[in-house]
Amino acid sequence: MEFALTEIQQMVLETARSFADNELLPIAADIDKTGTFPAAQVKKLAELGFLGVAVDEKWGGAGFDNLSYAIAMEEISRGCASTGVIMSVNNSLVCDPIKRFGNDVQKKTWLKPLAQGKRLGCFALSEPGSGSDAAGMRTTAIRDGDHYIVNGTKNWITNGKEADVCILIAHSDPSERHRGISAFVVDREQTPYGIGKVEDKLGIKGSSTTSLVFEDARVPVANRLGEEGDGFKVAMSTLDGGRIGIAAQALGIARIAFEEALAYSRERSAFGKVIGDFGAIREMLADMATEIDAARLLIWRAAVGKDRGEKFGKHSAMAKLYASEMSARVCHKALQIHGGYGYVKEYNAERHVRDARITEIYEGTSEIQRLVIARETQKAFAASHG
Amino acid sequence: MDFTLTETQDMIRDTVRSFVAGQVREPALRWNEGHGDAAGALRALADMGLLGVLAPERAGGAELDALSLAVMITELAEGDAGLAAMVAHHNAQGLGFLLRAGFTDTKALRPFAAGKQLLCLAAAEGEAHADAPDLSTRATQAGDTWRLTGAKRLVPLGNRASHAVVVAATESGARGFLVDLSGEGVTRSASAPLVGLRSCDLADLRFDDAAATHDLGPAAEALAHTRALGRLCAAAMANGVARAAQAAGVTYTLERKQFGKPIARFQPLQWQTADSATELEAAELLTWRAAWTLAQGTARSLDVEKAAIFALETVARVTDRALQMHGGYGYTVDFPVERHFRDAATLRVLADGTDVQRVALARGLAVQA
Ligand SMILES: Cc1cc2nc3c(=O)[nH]c(=O)nc-3n(C[C@H](O)[C@H](O)[C@H](O)COP(=O)(O)OP(=O)(O)OC[C@H]3O[C@@H](n4cnc5c(N)ncnc54)[C@H](O)[C@@H]3O)c2cc1C
Repeated sequence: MEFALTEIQQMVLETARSFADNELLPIAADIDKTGTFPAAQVKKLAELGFLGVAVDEKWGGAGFDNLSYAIAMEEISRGCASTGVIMSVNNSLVCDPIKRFGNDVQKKTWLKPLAQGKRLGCFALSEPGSGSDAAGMRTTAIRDGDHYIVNGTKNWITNGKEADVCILIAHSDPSERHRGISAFVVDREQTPYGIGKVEDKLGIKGSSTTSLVFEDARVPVANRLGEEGDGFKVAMSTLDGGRIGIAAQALGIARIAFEEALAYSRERSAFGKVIGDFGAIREMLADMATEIDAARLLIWRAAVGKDRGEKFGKHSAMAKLYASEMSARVCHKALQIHGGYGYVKEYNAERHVRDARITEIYEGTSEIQRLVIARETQKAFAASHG
Repeated sequence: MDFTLTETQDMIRDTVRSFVAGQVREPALRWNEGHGDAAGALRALADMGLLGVLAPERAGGAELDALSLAVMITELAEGDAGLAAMVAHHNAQGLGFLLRAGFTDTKALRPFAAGKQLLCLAAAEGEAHADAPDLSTRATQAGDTWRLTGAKRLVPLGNRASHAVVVAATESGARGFLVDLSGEGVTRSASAPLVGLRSCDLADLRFDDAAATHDLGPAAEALAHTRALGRLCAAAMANGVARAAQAAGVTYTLERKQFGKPIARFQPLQWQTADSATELEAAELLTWRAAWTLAQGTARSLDVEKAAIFALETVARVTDRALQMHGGYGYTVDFPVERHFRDAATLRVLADGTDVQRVALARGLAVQA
């Protein structure tokens, strides 16, 4: 067992942390208030290689491992949760499936500019009528010669407004459920599609969430990822990795909420002493610090599992479940420590509560994570007890 | 970053795991009801070289690191928490103190490191912290020998140990002393039984002008070290008990049928399974990291407190859920979960309380802020 970071991982950490300190923390409140996409910051992320952290240099990425990616995600999300999810989607949900399922032509055409941050990606699985039950989707992609004709509406798509490359999951054979699903790289320059409603949300307001509307949209067969019918596998294995990113996002949000609460607890006085010396406040801070570390270890274990090519689905579900609920608890306590000041926008505590909340929902709700974990755990016990 | 055990640690785990399966799990049911005791198991562990885990090889010890100790304690606690508590106490408290205090008398060390004789640490006194100035046990120097007077309660291994490291107040602060427990002026009696850890030997010790065989010097440093090791072992024990409870609970849900199907199919029980699995694995990761940090010799990190707080809170929830999974049967002594539940409650109070540790952790955080 070894808990030290390598030199490269340490360097990624320091780079990401100072970028967050200098470029994200100062603008995060404003991004939230105005709901603007942090375009300048995303451009700088690209220069740091953070839009393709775990993609080979050959394909335009930084060439680091998934642990480095988790580390960077935590630090960037500590600076700004919206920037965090923009980064996470491009890395986990767009670059990663092309890296794993794409052929060389697809990698050259899309992975390279995406990993370099010259283009931005989105991932379209959910629909108005299907979220947790992803295979219940209605969108179809019906083969017509050299093309697939796509019809349907995707919902809740992060980066939907800004992205020009979309990983689309749709039914190529509507008579089948899971096995009738295929995955495609849809290039907006090649295949125009519509951007529907832009959601107004509780938090992560700097990241756009839109519906995507496909009406007889023609996608070349060459854009299909993997074989016809592989789409569900592409989507689910992609989410396994994505959960590491979202868990790290949740952790980063918890970190900043904790840091601010700790600092506040040393400044604010009541009844003649700093509030940080009251037993109740101390207890909250001790638990926050402890749970933050627990989440990080779960996340890092999942990331290392992915790097080693091991089965890591249960571990990433655990990391995502624990980190997201931990983040909600930590942000709740951080607001409480601020008292009335926690409830007003002059401080950041209320924003962290709002930002943390999404991590319990997207890329598989907490309920879905629990189903995955329970199934794997029961299977293991059933096997070992006859 | 590497979350796998080294070859040695892996070997220790496998060895202890099969020892527990063969010689602990079954008899532990009887030990905890006061029929027979774990003496044979302790002897077997001594023969396996596991009662001098941290002691140097030149003194007959295994010279392993804190991570190996934690791994082994977790495995033992999965079989029987009381046995694990005794083994942890001898290794990390008794021997842990001696080693940290710079005790170099290899000849005197040898029987302890080999586990031929057991060694306990009699430090805290209930109300008074071991390093507090208000220790009631006092030592005075008469010629070359130190003589001790006072009482210590709830000392693990107090009945079985041949010697104790006793922390006593002197004019120049708290010092540690090695005391032969069969010597004159020492009386020992079994402590009133606790709600859990029933198989763990606990004694109340009285010293009436008892002579120390060795003066171990000022106690503060060694006590800080044994406190850290103690918290680590408490976390490791908690994880073992939680593992046992989770195994019992999940297995039961797979077998028990209601409404025509195994209750494992009901989501509320799946939720409990998932939450316990997740929290338990997080507790283990924190514990292993704390052990690793201790093995690095990193001064004052807060990793140990974090591990202990988390693991001790986790074992309470996991054993509670496991009991609930069993329904009414969980409340009976026919199933092992009620024992895990009681062991969990006992671990939480013995390991100098999670509240105390939270204060220590919060102080550390404030300093870092
Ligand atoms: C801000 C934001 C960004 C998003 N970004 C993307 C994106 O980029 N791409 C994308 O494809 N999607 C995205 N999503 C969609 C997101 O992944 C879904 O919202 C999520 O998977 C839940 O689906 P749903 O909203 O349809 O809820 P439902 O599936 O309808 O669930 C409703 C409730 O029922 C529970 N539930 C459902 N099934 C079960 C079950 N079997 N057992 C127990 N409980 C169950 C759920 O946990 C939940 O509590 C985004 C969503 C949001 C809000």
